[in-house]
Amino acid sequence: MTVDSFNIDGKTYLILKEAKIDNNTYYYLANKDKEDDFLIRKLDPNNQQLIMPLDNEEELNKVLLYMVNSIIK
Amino acid sequence: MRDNTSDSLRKESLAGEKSSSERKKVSINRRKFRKKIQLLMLTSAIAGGVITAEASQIKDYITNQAKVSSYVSEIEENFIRDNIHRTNDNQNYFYDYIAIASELKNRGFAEPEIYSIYKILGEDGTNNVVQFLGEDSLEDYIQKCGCSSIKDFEKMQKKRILLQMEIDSNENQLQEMMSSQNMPTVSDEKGEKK
Repeated sequence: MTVDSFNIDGKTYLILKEAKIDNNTYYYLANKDKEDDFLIRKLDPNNQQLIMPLDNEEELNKVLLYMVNSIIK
Repeated sequence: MRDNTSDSLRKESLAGEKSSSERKKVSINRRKFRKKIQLLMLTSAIAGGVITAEASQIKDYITNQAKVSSYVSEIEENFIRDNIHRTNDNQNYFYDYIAIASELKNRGFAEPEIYSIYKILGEDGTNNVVQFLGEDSLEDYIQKCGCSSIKDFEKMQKKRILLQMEIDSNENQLQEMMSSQNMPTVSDEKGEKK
């Protein structure tokens, strides 16, 4: 199967899930070549050509909670 | 290791520079991809500090997903694998939808098989298969099954697959129990020859 990916710091991260939360687009990513390397990025609201780290712990908790809720529902 | 993974998820999600949002397609083994999704779910739950009850629900969800995935893999093995062919230039591959539909007709099929085909071939591929099975379209087929959308259909079939697995497992346990106690088996009671 083929999957979309981003290149971050020379590493290939697979897009496992994409979610729109409060007008932001978030990506749950997994390193293609490493089993335990996950991270979350969001589309830069000021420049759709870029993805960026999350702003703070509060935003991270919101995005993690969204993932947990989407699994349970 | 799992705790380190969730710590790393928290740390890495807040660190680093902006990078290009340009996407590239990459190939990955279906099972490996599923495993990564399951691990991400667990890691997110731990990183999000969910309470035990929620964690248990997530564990159930992942277990059920794995069961449904194993059913879909079996369908892939039985109906799809032999009907994937290379293009003449050897650069790509295609599915023989007529052969897949013909196998389904010959072996007998029900909604869970069509659900599995949908998970493997996607909407367009399954639409082709159901048309070769004599239906107007996948959408029509789904409506005939009493579902209003593909999401409803998926939900219903997942439940059906899990229920069927539970019934099969219970029947096997019952058979084993009856055999160990030298009682007549279900097939004996039905008058079937061994």
